[in-house]
Amino acid sequence: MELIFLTIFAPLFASIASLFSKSEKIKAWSVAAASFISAAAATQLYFTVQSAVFQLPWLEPVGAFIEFRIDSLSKTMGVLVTWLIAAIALYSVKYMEGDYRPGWYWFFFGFFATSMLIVVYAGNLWFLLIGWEGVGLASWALIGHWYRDEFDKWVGKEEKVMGVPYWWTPSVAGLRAILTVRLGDAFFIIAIAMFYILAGSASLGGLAVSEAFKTLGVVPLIFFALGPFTKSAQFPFHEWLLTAMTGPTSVSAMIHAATMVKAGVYVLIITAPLFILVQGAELYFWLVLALGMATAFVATLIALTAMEFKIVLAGSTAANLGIIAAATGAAGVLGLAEPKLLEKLLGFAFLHIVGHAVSKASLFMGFGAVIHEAGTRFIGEVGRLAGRMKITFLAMALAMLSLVGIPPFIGYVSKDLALENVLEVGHLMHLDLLQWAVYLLIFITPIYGMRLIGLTFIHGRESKEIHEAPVLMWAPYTALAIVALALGIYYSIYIKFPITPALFFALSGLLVGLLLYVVSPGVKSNLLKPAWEFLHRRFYIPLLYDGALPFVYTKFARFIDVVFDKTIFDGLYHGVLPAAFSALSNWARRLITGNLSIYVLYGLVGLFIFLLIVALW
Amino acid sequence: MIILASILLPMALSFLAYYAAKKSTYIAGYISAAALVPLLALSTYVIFGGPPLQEGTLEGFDVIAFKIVPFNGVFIFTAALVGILVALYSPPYMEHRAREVGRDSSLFYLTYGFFTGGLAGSFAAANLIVVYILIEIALIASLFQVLYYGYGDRVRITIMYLVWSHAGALLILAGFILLYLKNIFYVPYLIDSGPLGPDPLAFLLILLGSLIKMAALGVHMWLPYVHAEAPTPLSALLSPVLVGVGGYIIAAVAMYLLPRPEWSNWLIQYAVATAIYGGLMAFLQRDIKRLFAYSTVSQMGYLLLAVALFNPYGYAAAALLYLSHGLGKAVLFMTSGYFIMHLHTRDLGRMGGLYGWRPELAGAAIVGFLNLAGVLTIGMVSEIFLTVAYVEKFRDAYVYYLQYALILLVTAIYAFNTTRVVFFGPHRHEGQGSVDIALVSIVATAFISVVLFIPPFSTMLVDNLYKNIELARLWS
Repeated sequence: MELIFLTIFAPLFASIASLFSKSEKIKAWSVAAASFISAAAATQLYFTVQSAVFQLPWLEPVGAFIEFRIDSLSKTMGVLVTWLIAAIALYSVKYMEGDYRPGWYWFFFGFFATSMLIVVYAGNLWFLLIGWEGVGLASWALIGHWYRDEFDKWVGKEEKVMGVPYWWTPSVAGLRAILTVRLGDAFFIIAIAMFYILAGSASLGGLAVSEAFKTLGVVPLIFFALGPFTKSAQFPFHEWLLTAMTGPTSVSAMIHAATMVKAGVYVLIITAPLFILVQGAELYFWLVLALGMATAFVATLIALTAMEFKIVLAGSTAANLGIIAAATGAAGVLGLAEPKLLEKLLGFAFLHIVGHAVSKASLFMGFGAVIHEAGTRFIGEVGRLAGRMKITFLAMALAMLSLVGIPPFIGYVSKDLALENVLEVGHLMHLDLLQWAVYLLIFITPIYGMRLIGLTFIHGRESKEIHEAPVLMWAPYTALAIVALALGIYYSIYIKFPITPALFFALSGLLVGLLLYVVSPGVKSNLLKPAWEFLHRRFYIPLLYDGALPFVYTKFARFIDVVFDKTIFDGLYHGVLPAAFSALSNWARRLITGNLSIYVLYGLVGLFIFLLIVALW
Repeated sequence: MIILASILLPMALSFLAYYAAKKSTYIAGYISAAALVPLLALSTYVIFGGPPLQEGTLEGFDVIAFKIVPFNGVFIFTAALVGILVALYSPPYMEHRAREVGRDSSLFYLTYGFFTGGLAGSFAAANLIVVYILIEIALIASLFQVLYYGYGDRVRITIMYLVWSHAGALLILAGFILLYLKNIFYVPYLIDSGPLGPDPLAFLLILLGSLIKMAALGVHMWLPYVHAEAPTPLSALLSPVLVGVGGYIIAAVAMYLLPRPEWSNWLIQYAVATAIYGGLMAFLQRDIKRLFAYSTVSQMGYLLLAVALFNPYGYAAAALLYLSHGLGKAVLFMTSGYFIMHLHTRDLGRMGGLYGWRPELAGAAIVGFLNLAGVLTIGMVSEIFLTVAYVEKFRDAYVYYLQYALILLVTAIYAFNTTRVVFFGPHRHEGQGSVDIALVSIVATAFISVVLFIPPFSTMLVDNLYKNIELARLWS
């Protein structure tokens, strides 16, 4: 119990303590040290505890308990998350040095870590909700970390498309993120309440043994999934992730590799064995599969045409999240037919969380160093860095090969196995289109990877001002790149080296990427320009999020304001009624004439009315 | 007599505060705060596990019958706690305002004890007529505060407040009198009476009066004027604490007279409309106090929804919402007062980048908004209970969940957007906001709302509250 408390809460306690220090160094090092303590505790937990459930009371009337679930999945995820956070914390010590808002950064860093670890180890869905809301809040805070909205922190350039601003300041990007996830969270909370009301439990263990839970129906499952869909930036909720690049790069590494978005797909995986019990769950798993594939495609094409380093990486994150979701959905579809396979197939989906996280954390930190040194976030404004940042180049090349799924890196193994799930569904259901879609995806992916490496490190405009990043920065991302290679080799030798048709498509894509962006860059086609523009503008989906939706919301609110609030309510109560009272009062005043005969007349009329009422009564 | 004495103490000490304010506003503030400590202690004792406290016989027409159980204890706790924190916050603000209006702050502190004592007392009183009288005391006291220390056209606003609040109070009184004629003298919830049988007229009178008090949709129009133009410490109490009285009366009295079960369905839809409407209007406001006032309309929609769902989870949610909104909105109104004191503006257009001006204030205000949005504060506990209550009511009628999700989203939109507009963006103000007792009170209020979320506080609070509600003979 103490160990899991230490694992989860050490970063939070350090971040709270950091608020009481004025020294930037003490803040940074205390949270970084706590992150390492958390990682060490998670590792010890991994090796010393087989499986266990700890429970403490919280809100018993609604089935809410502080419940920790230690099993192979949570232990592995815990080790992955804590060590990635520790590496990013170490990197941040240097990267954030001299920043104008260290208190905010380091508080939310530790808060983020603890929130994610609650999601990882929670065995009760209400308890999980605490971590869930926590990662959402921390993302909002850190995406908008540079709250002064300086130009160099934006995503996009100051330009408008169809009248809609196509740039995003940190504060706007934070707002986009939190509102998108709040939409999903609303349904997520409703779903948990539905589970509790029906099954009398909100614990994963309790729900698994509930007969009533099996009759839940598919709609609550879809409500539930809206939480992970928005958090994991699944199409069409992926936009917030692309503009979340306004945050410090270390934050991007956190969000993309270890926390926020991974929370979504992780929850999809851990709940799949539960949801498979629900009657009609097939539709749910198909939805997860379809949305995952759609996300993978859309985001890959965005990554292919983005002109900012971090947007390419963000697009690739969304694409890989799509793959993980699709693999989870496919595992569910296959698991319904063959329940014994479910755990193994979900394991493949989970493995890609690991594969992607290691590569992506390295890439974000590495490109963060590039942006730090070059002073630009745009592809093409700096180039030929291979000679000036040799270590970074090497690390980025290794991490990128892993990310895009080239053997023998872990990214290849994990992506191949995850997509095997999808291919198997295509095969079993005779969905050729699904199979070819997977192959196409595997083919395109290395192209954007080589584009980013080629245009940053091999070609482009050289700058003599640029130097290698400090050791405190390059050490974490280089180490992670080596881990990506080592894990891949280990897995290939001792567990499995998958040789499938997918390998052919991956290598073909790599070859095309190398030719287009490393060997002979600069190939341009006017024919493809409209398509490039369409993809570069991210399918014009921002027009919906930044144009249509805010416009409709504001206009609707104004309509209500003008028609109801100002005219009907305010007008009636504070205009018409007082005026009517005034008029009545003025009229009544005129009745007082001082003429006795008139008063007698009033009396007679009054008497007549009184008698009339009595008679009618 | 300890409950009665605790209610009368703030009123008695307000005379002392009145004289103290002529010498030092700070001493007057401390006296006003200290006067509420006994009420806070009693309610804390009950809601965190102590047995219910009762005074009087509850037989015949006993006017000194008072009772504190966990359900009304949460309301008393909120009123006393917020009352203390606002009293501590008030001295620098009232010094500032007193200079502006050209009179000292003594009248504010003379009426403060009557306002808070009457308000907290109205929750503790068991006799219906005494409930009414204590509400009246609170109303009259607050009227003077608006009249002497308010903004804008103070006289017009005071008359508006007088008319509306008394229209509501008199309707409630009419309903109480109808009950009196049926020999029902006490708050049904506090005497475990069980349902009193359908009484459409009394129900409608009490309901309508309470809805006016809560500023529910259609009868809300007075609230943005009054709460925006009231002196800000009063706004910090009026907005979350006084208007919630309506919700308490509906829960503890009116629902016992519910003519037909389906009437609660209409009330639910009305509550949903109020919550969404208030949220939409809050989003549009450019005056920060009007924004918070409309946000109160929205939050009263939440509170009404919780009551109208008419199940134990809903009643628990109602009490918890009163608490979370009380703390959250107090933080936000006090923050707006801090701006008025130091930046001399309420206009959102003149704000922006204020995080850098005073980070602690920004942090506290964000926590205030999180209370309203139901994120990681006692507001989250409220939201969980409200959601469970809602699901308990609607089960697999899935279409109703869309409007519920919309309520949560509308709240998030104005909460996070306002945070962005006020605290983020380029700096517009040089220097730093001062560190004074007002700031300390704001931060303390925010801190308490987080502490109450954490076990064992939330665990003890919720356990006692829910057990008490479950035992209410209203659900069988």
